Amino acid sequence: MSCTESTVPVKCLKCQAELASPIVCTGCRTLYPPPQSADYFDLLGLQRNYVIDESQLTAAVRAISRKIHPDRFADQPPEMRKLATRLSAEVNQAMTVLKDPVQRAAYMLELAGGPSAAEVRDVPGDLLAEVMVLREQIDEAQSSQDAQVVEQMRSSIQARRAQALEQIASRADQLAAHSDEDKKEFRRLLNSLKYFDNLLEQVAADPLARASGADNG
Amino acid sequence: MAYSDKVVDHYQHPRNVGSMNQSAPDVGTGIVGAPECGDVMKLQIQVDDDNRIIDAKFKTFGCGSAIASSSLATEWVKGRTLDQALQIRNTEIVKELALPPVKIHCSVLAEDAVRAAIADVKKKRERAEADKETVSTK
Repeated sequence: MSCTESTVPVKCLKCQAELASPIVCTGCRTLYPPPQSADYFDLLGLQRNYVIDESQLTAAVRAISRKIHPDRFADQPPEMRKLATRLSAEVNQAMTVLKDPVQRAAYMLELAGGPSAAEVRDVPGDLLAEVMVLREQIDEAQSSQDAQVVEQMRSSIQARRAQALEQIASRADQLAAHSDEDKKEFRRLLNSLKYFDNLLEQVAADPLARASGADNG
Repeated sequence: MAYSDKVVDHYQHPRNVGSMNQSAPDVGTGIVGAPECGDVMKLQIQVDDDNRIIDAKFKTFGCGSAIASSSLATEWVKGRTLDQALQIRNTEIVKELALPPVKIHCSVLAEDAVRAAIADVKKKRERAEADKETVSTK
């Protein structure tokens, strides 16, 4: 079974033109309510891949938004105007989620039926204990004004975050085929990001790190 | 968001901040985190032979409510037996500190930390018991 097959209509019911997005015919401007099966990728007429070309995403959103902008339906019946407003909101939401690498990964996990953030709240392995130690070390380095140590910690934490995001990126596309345990681990990886972000925030809060330009990276 | 006076008091004068020797047989350590905000909390208890908590320490990296919740939790567990300490509910912390709904997860974190610390020291004791048995059967 594949979840990546899209089941949205491919042709405009009115003018028979090919539909790039299931919610609007770019030819005759006919609007369609979003099909239940359509996800954010479908909505924007994009392939369901984790790696996204941001310019392609922006271009797709722009092309669709222009066609469905509620102002263009000012002379249409209220249902049409309502539909245009609703679709515009959905397209905006789709863009917000798909543009952000973390939100996009979380969304793909959701599509694959993986656990929510409320269901799996832990992180991979002993990461929490490690985070605790790192926090204490940053505290120490900051109070002893050791800019070099702070900078070293910053770059190593940043590398750890990048590593976690790489693992996420490499697994995101095959999530549907993975076991429940793999999906849980994917959620744990997503959970770990916020801890790295906070560590980086703590490092950046150090006046020394800022003075040496360490938080520019 | 305005913090209650009690939260501010715990935040400005946190009780029982510090660390204990994590590998000591009578010390239980609980490290927990909230993935939505990235807060981490370490709560440690020292337990006597009658399973009574004689000391507690915490270290929390997080918001004022998380610090206050863990500070309060260390105050509450001291003098209790492990079973009594397990009765502590996050809702009591919410009530005592007048935490708003968006900060309830901070109190959950404190409850989880107490439970994790208790589970840790219990595990250590069970292991010690098991070791004793294997020694005596030799």
